[in-house]
Amino acid sequence: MTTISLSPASLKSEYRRLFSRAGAWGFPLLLLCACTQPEAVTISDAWIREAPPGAMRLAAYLVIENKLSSTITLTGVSSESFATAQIHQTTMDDGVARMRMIDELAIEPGQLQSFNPGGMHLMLINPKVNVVAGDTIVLVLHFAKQADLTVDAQIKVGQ
Amino acid sequence: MPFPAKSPLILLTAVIALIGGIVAARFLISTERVSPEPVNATWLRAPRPLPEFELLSHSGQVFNKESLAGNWSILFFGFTNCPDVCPTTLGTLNRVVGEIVARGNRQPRVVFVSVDPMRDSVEKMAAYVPYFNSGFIGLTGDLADLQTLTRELGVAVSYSPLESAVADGEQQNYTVDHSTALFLVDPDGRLNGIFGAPHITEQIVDDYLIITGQS
Repeated sequence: MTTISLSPASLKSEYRRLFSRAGAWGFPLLLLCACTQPEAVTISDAWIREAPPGAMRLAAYLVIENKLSSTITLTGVSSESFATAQIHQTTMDDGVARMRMIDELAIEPGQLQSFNPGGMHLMLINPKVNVVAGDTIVLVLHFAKQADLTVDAQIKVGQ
Repeated sequence: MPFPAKSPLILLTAVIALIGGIVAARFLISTERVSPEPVNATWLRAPRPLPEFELLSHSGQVFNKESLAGNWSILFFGFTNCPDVCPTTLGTLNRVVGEIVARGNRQPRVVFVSVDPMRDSVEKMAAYVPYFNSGFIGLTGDLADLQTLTRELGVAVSYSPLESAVADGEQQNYTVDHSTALFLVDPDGRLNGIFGAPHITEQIVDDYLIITGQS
């Protein structure tokens, strides 16, 4: 086992080395990032339900939080691991389940939009890879007037 | 004795109170238990026989009304291109049968009937259904045979095109709207109960055991 111990003097020189590497603009930029962090769109709890062998339609679930002061619009989803992906919504009407594609989804400032089983989901069509629990798959969310957001979705056995 | 004149009256009152107490106790602590009612499921007190039908199991065998004999069955209607409601429900049914067995009862037969026989071949059902539980049975077949069953059970099925074309050029790009109810069929092929959505494992197990007269 290797133990690394840093004396206060060596720590100081380590910091100095780091700052000199970051350059004159590095530190202010870092501060700026830290300040703007809460004003963002975050994606969390992304997962894909493991499907039986040969299944051509899978569902991904996640949570999008709009921490911006303006409305954002989700316009689509894509993944290199699937031929196509769409935004879908399941609705229950008098005991009948209906699944429909949604072109776009507006998320208000401060809104937490959940994609859950039996509600909204991202439909992943025709997998190009084996979708096995424990692996992750990269999903790219597309927004209107907003940069794409990439998320690693965990493949899990559905609950 | 301090109150000799009143003592017979007190004694009489005490005897009446004692008799009254015994009678009331017999009424209140009855040894006969009232049979429990299902909380969420619909219980058909007059079971309804299923019509004659003939479909194919995922192992390619004929599956008809007679195939339902010998055990209680839970029927669920769905399709393999359904990525949300169907796998969720089949996962719930896997937990339901696990819990029924854990409580010391026989595992019921679970039958997943495809409402999309045009796309759900026997091979597709064979790959799909046992994934959830190796004991589950998948059924597919002719649309007319399927409709015999869905009409009788009141299963709503409709086919709706999906708006955008799928990249691989799949021609039949549609979805199927379908009832999500679970149908409980007795060993004589008669409908006994219906479990409506939402499907909560504990509630289904409790009601299943009440309707089937198990504990």
